Amino acid sequence: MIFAEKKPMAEILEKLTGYKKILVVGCATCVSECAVGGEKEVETLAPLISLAFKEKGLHIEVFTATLEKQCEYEFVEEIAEKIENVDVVLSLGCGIGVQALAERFPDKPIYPGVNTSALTIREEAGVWASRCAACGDCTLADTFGYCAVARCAKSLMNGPCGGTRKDGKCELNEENDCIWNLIVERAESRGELDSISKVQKPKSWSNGRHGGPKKVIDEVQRV
Amino acid sequence: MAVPNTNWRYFIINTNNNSKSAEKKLKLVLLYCQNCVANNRDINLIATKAKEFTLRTAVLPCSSKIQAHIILKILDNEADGVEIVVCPDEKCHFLAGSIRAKKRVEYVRRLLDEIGVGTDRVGLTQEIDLSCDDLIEIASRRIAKIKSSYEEGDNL
Repeated sequence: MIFAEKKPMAEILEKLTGYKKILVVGCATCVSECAVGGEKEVETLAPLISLAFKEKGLHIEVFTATLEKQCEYEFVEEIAEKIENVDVVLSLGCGIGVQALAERFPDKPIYPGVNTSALTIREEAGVWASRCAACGDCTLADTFGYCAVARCAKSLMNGPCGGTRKDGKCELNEENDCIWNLIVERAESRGELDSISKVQKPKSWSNGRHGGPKKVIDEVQRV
Repeated sequence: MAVPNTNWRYFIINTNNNSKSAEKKLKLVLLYCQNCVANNRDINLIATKAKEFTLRTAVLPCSSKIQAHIILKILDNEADGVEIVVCPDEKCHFLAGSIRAKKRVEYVRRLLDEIGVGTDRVGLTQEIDLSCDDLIEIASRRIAKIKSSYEEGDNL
């Protein structure tokens, strides 16, 4: 899922200062799963914003809405009426959600309330960890199902780097597994250690973020 | 959602004589786990026993039902403070209920601190076999802290 983290309140409040009617918009998909932008978080942030302004002696009105998906125009349309009646929108959606709102409602200030930071898996309750970097050239077949781009601190395609700790953790962060250590262990357990001895050619990054903004057109899907 | 203007504190400025004499009665909402109280019979009288402040109580089926947004909405729309009363960790009938409540209260306190409201507006007490008078005492302690934080704010 797309993972995001709440922005500091000081940053949020600075952006909202001067507005009288605020709409906080959440998304019930990824950011809800990572407990930062779903309905519960929207309903938590709204009274908090109100309280913060009251503390400064300012009276504002805070409205709330949570969309099924903030990244799809069909769902965004649901809040068209609400947005007409407010001065500013604070989106708790990921970066895609914020832009979907800004595209649909170009005359209204739309501010992000979260920082979108990773593509993660929920390892257990309250624990999320990177699994994908959307690099555009998946090599998981060569790395035994472990992503060296997202999970190696140096994104090495020919690892390990030599800095693996004795307990198999990364030299840069002792809480993270050295992913190349795990790759070697899995290769060994399958009896395929030789396959990772092969030097990987330089990876093409042109199909990911480094290749510039992506726009894909699939004629089959278009009516 | 229309937000009522409750932007006054413990003391409000009397516009006629410009003194801090008009004292507002503080309000506290006390949320307690049903398993904390020894006897429910006299709990109904609790609101009438609070003389120095306004008190509203609500019983929770389990302390794990408390959520951050519930506490913040109470603070925003209704009361000066919220006190949550739950069982000690090892006495929790739901096993993890008290731990969850504790974490959520801490989270709310961090949020309040982040916006400069201060952490004293919300508290958590972990006790069991509580009587009506015990709850009044717990509420009074929270009110005293809120009053003190308001006075500090006014003196800044």
